[in-house]
Amino acid sequence: MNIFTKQNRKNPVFTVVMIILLSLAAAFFAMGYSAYSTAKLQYEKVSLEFVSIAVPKQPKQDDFSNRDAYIENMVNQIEAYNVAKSFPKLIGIDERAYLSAYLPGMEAVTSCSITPAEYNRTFDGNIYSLCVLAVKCTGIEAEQIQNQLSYVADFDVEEIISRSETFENLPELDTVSDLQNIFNADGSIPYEIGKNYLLFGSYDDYQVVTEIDIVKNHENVYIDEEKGYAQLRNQRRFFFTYPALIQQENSLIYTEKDGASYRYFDENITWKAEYDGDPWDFIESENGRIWREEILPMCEINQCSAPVILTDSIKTAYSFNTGATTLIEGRYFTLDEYKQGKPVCIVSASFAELNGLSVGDKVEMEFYYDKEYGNFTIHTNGGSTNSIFGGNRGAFIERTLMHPDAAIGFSDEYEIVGIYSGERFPFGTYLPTADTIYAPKNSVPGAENYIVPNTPFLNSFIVENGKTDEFEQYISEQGYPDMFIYNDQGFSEMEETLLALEANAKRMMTLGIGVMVLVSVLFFFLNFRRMMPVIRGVRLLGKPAKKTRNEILAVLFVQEVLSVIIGTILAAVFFGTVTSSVLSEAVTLDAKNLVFIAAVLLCILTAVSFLLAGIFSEIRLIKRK
Amino acid sequence: MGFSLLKITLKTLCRRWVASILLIAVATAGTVSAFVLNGLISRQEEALENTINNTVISCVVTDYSGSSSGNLSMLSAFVEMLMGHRRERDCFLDDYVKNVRAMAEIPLLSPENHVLRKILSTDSDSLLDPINGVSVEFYEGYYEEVLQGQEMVCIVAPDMVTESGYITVSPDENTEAEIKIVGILNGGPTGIIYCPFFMPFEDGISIAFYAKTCSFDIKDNTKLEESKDYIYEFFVVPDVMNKNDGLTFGVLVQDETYHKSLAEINSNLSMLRIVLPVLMIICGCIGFFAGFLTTKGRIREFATMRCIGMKKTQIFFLVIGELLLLAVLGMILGCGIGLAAEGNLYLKVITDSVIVTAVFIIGTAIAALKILKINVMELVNKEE
Repeated sequence: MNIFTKQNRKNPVFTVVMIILLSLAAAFFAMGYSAYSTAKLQYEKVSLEFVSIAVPKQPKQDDFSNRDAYIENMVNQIEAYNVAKSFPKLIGIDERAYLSAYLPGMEAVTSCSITPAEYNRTFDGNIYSLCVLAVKCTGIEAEQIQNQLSYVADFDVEEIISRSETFENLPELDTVSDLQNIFNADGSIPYEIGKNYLLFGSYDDYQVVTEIDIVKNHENVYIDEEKGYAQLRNQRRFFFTYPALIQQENSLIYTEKDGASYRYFDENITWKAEYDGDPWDFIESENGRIWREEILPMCEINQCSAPVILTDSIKTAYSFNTGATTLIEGRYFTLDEYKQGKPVCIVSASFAELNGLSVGDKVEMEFYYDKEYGNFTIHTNGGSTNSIFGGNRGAFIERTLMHPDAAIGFSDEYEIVGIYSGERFPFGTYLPTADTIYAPKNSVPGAENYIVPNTPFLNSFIVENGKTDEFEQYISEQGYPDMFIYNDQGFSEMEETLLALEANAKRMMTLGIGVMVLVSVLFFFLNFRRMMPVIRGVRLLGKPAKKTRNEILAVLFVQEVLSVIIGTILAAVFFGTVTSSVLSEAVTLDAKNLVFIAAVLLCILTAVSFLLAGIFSEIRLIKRK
Repeated sequence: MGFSLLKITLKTLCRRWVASILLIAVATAGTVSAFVLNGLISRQEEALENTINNTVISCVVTDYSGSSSGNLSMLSAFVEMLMGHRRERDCFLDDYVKNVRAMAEIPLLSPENHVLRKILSTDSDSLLDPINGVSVEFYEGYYEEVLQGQEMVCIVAPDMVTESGYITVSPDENTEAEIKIVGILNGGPTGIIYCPFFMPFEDGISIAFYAKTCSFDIKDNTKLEESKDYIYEFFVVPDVMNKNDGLTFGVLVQDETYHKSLAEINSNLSMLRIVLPVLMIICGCIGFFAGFLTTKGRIREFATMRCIGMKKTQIFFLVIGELLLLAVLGMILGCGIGLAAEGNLYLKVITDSVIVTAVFIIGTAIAALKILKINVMELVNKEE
């Protein structure tokens, strides 16, 4: 039998106490490590709640009057953008795509969809107010201003063939007027008094104001006290024919006749049709084929549409990050949904209310992207064109008309997972209007093709929490100061606590290691002090050093194994009980990690035992004189 | 006698220098553990208190259903209540809220195509957000606080600045006011004249008007729930089922992230409060067993002392004296290291250090007593 084992048996108290001592140290170390790893998990979990962003600022609006300054601003912005991409502590960039989507069966959130008191053509644009009206021409006033031929044609609306249902919230559409000065190719006015026409285009309804008291004494005022608005009817309702809406397609041709200039439309574009009798008979006939098969479907696509912003992280959008737009129901997208491009979406409370939707309902979306003109135009000097008290309210986004040709060939049913609230129709480009829908970028194939680079409101730089100051310093040093705005969702206030959490975790771990080292030294000291006379004795009796070393190792190994197992179990049971009762599930004790640490500890103790056993078994038996 | 005892003790400690150093290290470790472990909780609590005080919890006023936070048409009286201007009517919330931001808009007949926007601060209107490339420059002697008062002042776009420094505004045919320009709006929208929210058109005459947007922050985060209770006495939690009577407005309190973060930190504190006493007990036990084992290993030494005629009590007090000296040295060293690491000395640290050291000495005492009970001849024959 191993003589050292005999020695242990002769004095069991010593052996047991040694095992207890080392077990306690192992338990201390294991608990210190567990607390450390738990704190690290908590740190990460809390950090993940915060998203720090750097968002490019909109260039100063008043610089646009100076073309050189404007171009310089734009160039600076692009260069600053590129410099920002190289910031070392950048987590990523969310470059969002802006698409339009046709939502069959849904009502669009037009400016008057919730209350007519909010009617403002600025937000409806040409898309929502696209319509087909059956009208009768009641009057034409032609004139020539300087060298420009012009006319105003007035119409009574006989029937509304196609229009967004939300405009029924406004008073009856009884008259419209065409002031677009689009003539026939020969210079004649395209209308005749008394004739019926189908008109395709969009219109401005009368200006709406909510300050009823101020306007109630005006002439021609419609007042709805219950809904809290008034319409000033002292001007015309202007109709914008389709050729005028698509001027960028050069469909209007300018020419001169008898010294006066005018413009006429490309005859390949259908925007007007004369009819007799019932307009629907005309539409159903062969002559009405284009109206039936192309124009009316196009109207529906636009009337029931919405802008869709595809994103990799909705929390990095400025409005959500700052809390200007906030989730009131449901949840944000999960990491999985972003990565896998699941068909989920977040819609506004107004959209949900209008369409009777709630979290869990599905919305079909068919996507459109205009390759030639893009999906939107930013008007930096926008107007509240629906108020006589108007004036420039700031920037707004105007969506491009949706042509059937612009369909990207992808549609899907998207499940609503969240509903947001914010200002319904804010000016400025960084706050979404209530018709905006958000979806994960990967949910649309080829979404990267629809990214609009260098567009401030669609791009956010995601910075490591606590590093926004460094970002600004980095950008400034490269010569582009004050070109970004930052928000960290309050992380800087939480940082002190998180740093304390991290410091505590490190202290616990260090203390655990220190105590383990100290007790290990004590363990080996006491054991070898006790074993020394026996080692010397057996060596003097002729036992080889190797055999002696192995016997020492066998005894120590048993003690170490027992100590580590007991200590780890004690720590696991106690710490596990504590953490499961006070901590969230995500950060409770990871048993696998603990077992791994115990194994490492055992390996280290065994290695040291091997080393010391080897040294002490090779001791000089006879002292030198 | 005392001095010779001290001399003997020191000689013994020097002779057993390895054991002495280890025992000093154990005592030091106990004291350092007390410092570090107590410091963990106090550091975390202090940081948490600062975080709670410095975190801004924003609240946004919405319509009754929560679907919109713009175009509220909310009577200015609500804003007055938030600002504490209605104390005499027992309607005030300024004890619980701060940094109220509100914007109202009054159309103007003159200047044409302009509106008057009444704001409490530059961040009351999203159009004035610097992200839009906008900046507000106040003239010398004027600051943003002027917007919270009732002075007849305004901020305008550069093209509206007049030589006289005043601008005349008229919301209707019967009302006119001359307002002093005190600031310039650079890069912002034209057609808007900004003035203080509570600015009247005529001195001493204030008329109720409607706020389009309103938001505010919680004043004291330590009373968050109490603040919410008071806020919801005058507002509602947004819900489509709420009454749409034009007088019901919702408030969204944006405290989710704050609560989630605090929950994690507080749970960490709870964990520390449970775990740390256990760790201190383990420290104490380690000290106990360390003292016990090192003393137990000195059987032959005690036997020799007994053989030369030393009494049990003498040996006992000698041993205790040695360990006390080591413990005191260890405590002093531990305090030095602890203060260097933590910087603060709490009463609890001293108490815990003394307890750990006392346990250490008790372990030694028990071992010594056990050994000294044994017969001298048995002692001599016993193996260490």
